[in-house]
Amino acid sequence: MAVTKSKALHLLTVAALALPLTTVFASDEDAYFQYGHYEDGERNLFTTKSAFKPIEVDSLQSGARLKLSDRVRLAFNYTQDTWSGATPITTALLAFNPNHESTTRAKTISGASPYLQPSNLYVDKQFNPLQLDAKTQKYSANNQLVHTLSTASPETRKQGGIGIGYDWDEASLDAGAGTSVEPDYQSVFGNVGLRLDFNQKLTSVNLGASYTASETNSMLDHDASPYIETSTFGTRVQTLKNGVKLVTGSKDDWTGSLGLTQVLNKSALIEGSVSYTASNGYMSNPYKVVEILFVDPTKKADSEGKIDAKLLPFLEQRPEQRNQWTENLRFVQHIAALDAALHLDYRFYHDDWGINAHTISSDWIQPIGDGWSLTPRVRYYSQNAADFYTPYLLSKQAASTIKFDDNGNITRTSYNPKLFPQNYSSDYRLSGYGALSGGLTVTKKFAKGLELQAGAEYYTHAGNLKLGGGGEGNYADFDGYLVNAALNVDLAALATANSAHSEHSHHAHHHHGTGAPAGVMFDHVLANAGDVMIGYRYMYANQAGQMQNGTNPVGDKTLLNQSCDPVLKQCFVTPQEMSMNMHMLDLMYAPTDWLTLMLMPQFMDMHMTMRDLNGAADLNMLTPLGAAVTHSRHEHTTGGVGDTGMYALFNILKFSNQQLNVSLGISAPTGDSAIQLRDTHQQDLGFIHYGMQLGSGTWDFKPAITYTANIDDWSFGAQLNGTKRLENQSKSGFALGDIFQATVWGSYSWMNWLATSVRGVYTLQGALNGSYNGIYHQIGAMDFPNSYGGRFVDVGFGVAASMPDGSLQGNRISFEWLQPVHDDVNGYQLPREGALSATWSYAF
Amino acid sequence: MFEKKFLAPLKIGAFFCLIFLSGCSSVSPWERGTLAKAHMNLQPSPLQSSLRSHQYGSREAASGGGEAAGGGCGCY
Repeated sequence: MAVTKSKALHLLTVAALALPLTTVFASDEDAYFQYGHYEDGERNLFTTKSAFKPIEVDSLQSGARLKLSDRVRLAFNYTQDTWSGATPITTALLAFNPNHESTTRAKTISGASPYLQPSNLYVDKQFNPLQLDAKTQKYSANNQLVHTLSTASPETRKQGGIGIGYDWDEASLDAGAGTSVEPDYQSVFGNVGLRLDFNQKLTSVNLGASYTASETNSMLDHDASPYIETSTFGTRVQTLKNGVKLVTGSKDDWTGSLGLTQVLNKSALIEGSVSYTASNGYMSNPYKVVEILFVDPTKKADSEGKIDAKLLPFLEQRPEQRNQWTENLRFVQHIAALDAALHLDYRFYHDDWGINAHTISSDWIQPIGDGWSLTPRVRYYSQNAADFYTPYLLSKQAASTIKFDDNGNITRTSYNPKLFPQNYSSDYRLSGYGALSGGLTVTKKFAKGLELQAGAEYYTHAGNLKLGGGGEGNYADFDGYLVNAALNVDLAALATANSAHSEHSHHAHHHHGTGAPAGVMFDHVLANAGDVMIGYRYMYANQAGQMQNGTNPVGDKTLLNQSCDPVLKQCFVTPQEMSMNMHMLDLMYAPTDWLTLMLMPQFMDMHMTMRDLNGAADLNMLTPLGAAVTHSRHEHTTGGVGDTGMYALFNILKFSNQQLNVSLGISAPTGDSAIQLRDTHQQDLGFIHYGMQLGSGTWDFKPAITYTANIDDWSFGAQLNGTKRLENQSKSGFALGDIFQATVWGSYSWMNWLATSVRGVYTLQGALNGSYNGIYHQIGAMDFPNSYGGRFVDVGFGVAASMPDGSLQGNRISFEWLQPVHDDVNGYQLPREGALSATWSYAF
Repeated sequence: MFEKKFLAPLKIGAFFCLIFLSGCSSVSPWERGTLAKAHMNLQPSPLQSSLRSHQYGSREAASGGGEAAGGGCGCY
């Protein structure tokens, strides 16, 4: 007996020891998807106003971790952020009225420029800024600071990474690399990590190192750049031929980290880590400027006590070297009485820019039964200001002096930049302040390894929250909130659940093995009540080449005269390339065996480049049309949440090898259909081109009927589907055309896990109805409602693989390339180059 | 200055070591059931944490938690 007990104990020990301490809890194989939204609140601008919308950021993350063998792990991840809206470009003096609400248009203001360099400024003898009272016409000192806000058109950042890991019994080695790309900033990075377990895995040591190389290539704002002093920046700022100022810089970061994880007892563990990062290169933010207030000390006050002053904005100058140290402490304690886990984290951060920061956060994870858990959280952060932080600079010299010599020649002398400090920034993030945030996360874990999570956090930043007081004034205070929704699929748990499941009942999974090509939706229903399928769909579509009218290619001359307004013959640009990426989540659930419900949220981004038409009239860029044409020489991008589809699928006929399904769906207008370009050249550019909007803006009805048949290794299908707009116009004034589509396909299974398909598609789409109901400038064919829609024929080639066994059993991936063979477009449009669809799905 | 730069991290490091070396009872592998619970993971929601870090990193000077990763600018 004793022997048996000891043997069992030994086996248990071996089994338990096979689990590494720090990673045991996370699944080795999973797929995940997360959507996040962050939004700043309105800032306090005191008596000034800015009608810019505060910045908002939409984030999308997806990825998967897989095992290639018992010991080799592989990971992929993809992140995408799209942001638009206003952030502070500088800190200014309220006395000088640094923000201004347009009188011509209530919604936004035109350009930050005039407010970066106001005129007729005075200070008193103590260099206090003087403000003119409009009623009494008297000047009085006002030292109140305020942010000047500047806004940006939508921009997108994309990051992809790959990682590989190897596990030994008591160690693991991980290596990863990735790249992040946004229009003005690119970086590549690599990292390695080593974990060593000791003391029967009660202790783990983690070593990490990483390297990041980044490049900044940022075009200064058209409107602001003439007013921003760049002369002190040397070769960092170049002026391009077209007058655009480009800031370039590169940066290297090296990081090393060391961590120790220790099990304290049966219900508590702790981790301590230290890390060091050395950064070298350009670390300034090219979109932040510092106002320098010039007062000539040789000038005397006038009878009212006023002294002339001049304000000039300079690009901020941060040091080109930064050494950062971080110490982290994490503690986790299980509270047995409530089966809760208390997480306490503390971080001390220190750098040689003079910043010390403390972060403390606490999460209480409370399971409440049936797979649900609630996690309230609080976090406090405090930092002191960087040594070179200053809301604005006072320079006791003349901004410029003009002298006349004896012959009447003028000599102009500018300020002496050597009298400025070496580094300066008025970025509020380098000021002294504290930040308090609190949030709640709800998690539901379903059987078979599916986990859904939704969280919200409110964040408030304030000078007076700084530890020990002495923080920045309340003009820099702001708040914001962050929400997230995440889905995680534990592939290993799914596979286990599924193999157990199939032993008991011969559940009809066979139809997932063949299935329709990747570009087809609504082709199958779930067979049994309670079944769940989750999937991810990606679609890329591109248009480029020579513009077409109907089926005929057309040249610039025709476009110039015909593609816009045939009477006015006013056309200036033509689209050159348009592309779209769409990420869709495919969530299916069968409440009964005759009905399958499907929810499909979408996330998308679009890109467009244009070129000037040969022979187009030259426009003054300070006219609205001229500004729109000039702005069209930049790539236009949009991105964010698209429309959300909700469908009910019914199986109406079912024979042994054939079925007929009907899908009735509604698409909710969750995507933005009122995106506007930012103002530029002091002109309101209004709505972006119709095709760049993320949503239809209308509630749409989407029916489909699908027939599928299987004969031996062959399967066939046909589908009719449509989109009927249920409203005549969106809130922006237009509605997309209705769509009718017919498609037929055949596929052949070469092996029990691999099939290829061929498909034909006919699509008919109407032109736009109505037009924008606000300001927009028609500079090219894409700005005219009749240049949308048409009749299209495509041929699709697809490949699909499903895992019949192994740990990934039940997973199906498929790809399809749609090759356009016939484009008969309405109006004038770019021909389509093709579309790629990729899907991953899992049914259980 | 030297003290400010280098001694503070060392002191904190020493504090960690003390914690690790004291008060750790031996926990047998079969007694680790509680520690193996999902919510006892040092990083219970890595996906949510990465989103939060990105947001804090774009709003605070002390970016990163010392984890070696890399990434974009987020400099809006």
